[in-house]
Amino acid sequence: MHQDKHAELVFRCLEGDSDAYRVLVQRYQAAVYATAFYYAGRYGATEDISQEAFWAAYRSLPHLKDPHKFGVWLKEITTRTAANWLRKNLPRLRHETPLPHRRTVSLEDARQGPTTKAEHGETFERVQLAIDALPERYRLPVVLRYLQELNYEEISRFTGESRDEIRGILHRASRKLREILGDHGATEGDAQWHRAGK
Amino acid sequence: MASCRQVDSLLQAYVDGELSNAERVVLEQHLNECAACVGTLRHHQANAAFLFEVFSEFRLKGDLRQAVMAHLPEMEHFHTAYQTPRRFEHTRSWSQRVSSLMPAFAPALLLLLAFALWMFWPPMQAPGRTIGMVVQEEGSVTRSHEELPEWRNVDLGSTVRQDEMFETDSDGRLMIALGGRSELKVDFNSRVKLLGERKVQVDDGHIWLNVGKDERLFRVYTPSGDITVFGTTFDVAVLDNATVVTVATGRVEVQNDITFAALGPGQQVELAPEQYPLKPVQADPVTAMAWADGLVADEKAKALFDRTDLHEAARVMRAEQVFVLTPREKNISEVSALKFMWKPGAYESGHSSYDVHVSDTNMNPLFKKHLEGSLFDNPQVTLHMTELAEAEMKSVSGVSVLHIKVVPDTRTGRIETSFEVEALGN
Repeated sequence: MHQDKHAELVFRCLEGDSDAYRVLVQRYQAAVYATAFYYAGRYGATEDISQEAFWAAYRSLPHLKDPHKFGVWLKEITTRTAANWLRKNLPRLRHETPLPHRRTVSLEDARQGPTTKAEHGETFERVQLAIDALPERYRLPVVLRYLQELNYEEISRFTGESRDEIRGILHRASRKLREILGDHGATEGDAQWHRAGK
Repeated sequence: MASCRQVDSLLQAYVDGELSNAERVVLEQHLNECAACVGTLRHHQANAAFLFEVFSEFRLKGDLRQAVMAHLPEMEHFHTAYQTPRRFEHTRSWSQRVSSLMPAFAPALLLLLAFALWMFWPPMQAPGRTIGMVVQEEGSVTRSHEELPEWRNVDLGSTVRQDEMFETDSDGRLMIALGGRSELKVDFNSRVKLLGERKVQVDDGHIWLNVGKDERLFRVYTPSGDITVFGTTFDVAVLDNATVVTVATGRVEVQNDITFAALGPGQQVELAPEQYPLKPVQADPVTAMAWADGLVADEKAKALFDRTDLHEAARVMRAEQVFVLTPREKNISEVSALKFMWKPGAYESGHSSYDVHVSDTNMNPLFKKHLEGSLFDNPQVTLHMTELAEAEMKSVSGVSVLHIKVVPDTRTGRIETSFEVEALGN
């Protein structure tokens, strides 16, 4: 099982084998990047935060209690790194929230907005609003799936939710997103769909 | 034959390439005969393609490895006694396991017990902590565990390990005694996973629970929402799109992704993932739970369970924290937000997440929020605070008293945090 292979890598890091960390970075960089994007993508800080998160994780690796839970632990470190970055670089935020203050957006707000604009930027804004309108628990799994194409197993390993829960979450999230964004008309045969087979 | 509704719930996973072989066969058979579902599938595919496309320009290009490895910092030394990490625990021999369960008895009795245990002991043990015992089983029931994934038969009197799954067929029923003294009955066509003595996941089917009073909270997880229990007897039926919870005695709190509700004796609620609000209705618990009456523990197995030391509370956790805010005292007429404060503990990780349930004076649910465990992971700062619920409080007016309950969700971690809560306003 993946958990075992990654736990093995963690043990090797702790014994001084930094090459093992290189492999862990390769395995988790997509998830870390997507999480950093989720919190601070709009400020262009994704890559910085991702690197800092991996450094912070390496530094405090001896503090990880259960190497089989490396994924979830790394996600928490990424979240904290993003929060610290935001706190340092955006003093305008008037709350002392360690995590960015994500306001709940009403469905009405998200449904409005350009429906026929071909502008990629505006479309992305609309998708972002739609994701903000989802229940909190759905948002990161959605970004992990559609930004970095992680499969359910990878999402489960990183968020700590079971694979069944991820399946349910993505099913309900996609239904809700369709409601908000409207259907993107499909014709027989020309829809290409993604299979995340890694 | 699958119905359109069953197939609908599989479509997203199909588009994502995540169905099991069995599910895919069922779905493709249905698609061969149902143009409507094929149409729905095309919509799913097109929407997935759209979302992948929209995000494509922001996707990670290249590799972070070079940059990360080039400036890798020093690993911290963990000064307190850090043991060499255990590799993979080998399965202990059954005799070692037997002796760990054996209380101090006269040798003759010991022999008898050993014989009884040997009679009942399953041939292969799944690794993991013992949390209970099978005290009755009927018909076709199978069990499995991540580490030993093949489905095996269930033997009466066998121990139940943490994270074990049980599945009952159309003629199978099962009763499990859990440490902390709870009883779980599982009806036909069900699938459950035992996450701990006080944590059960119901994927499908119908269960009955009698939860022993214990300082620890008991939680049940279903696809449609979660149930938090306070020493009670209740029934959970997991249907295709909802979970129905019926309470006989005691009190239960249910929550889905958006809101929550509290149930008392003789009440029932249908819990769907995005239902708002949740409205409990009166129901006769006797009728709802009649199925469970016929399933009674086997005497010998029950006696065996009574001799184990599983009733010991493994760890006493504080239950929920409750705050009552009366903003009038501070000359606030309208609450605009809630301020949560906490002192950090010594740990850098492993904190429990919390669900925050906010109700008005009459205990009508107003809204719920979630505090992630990682929020509490910073021992450096002396005092933390976060402001919540600005948007929600805007839509709530004329409330003079807020009832706030903070409930730990221990799936993310087990370290608890104490809070202070204040109302903010003008």
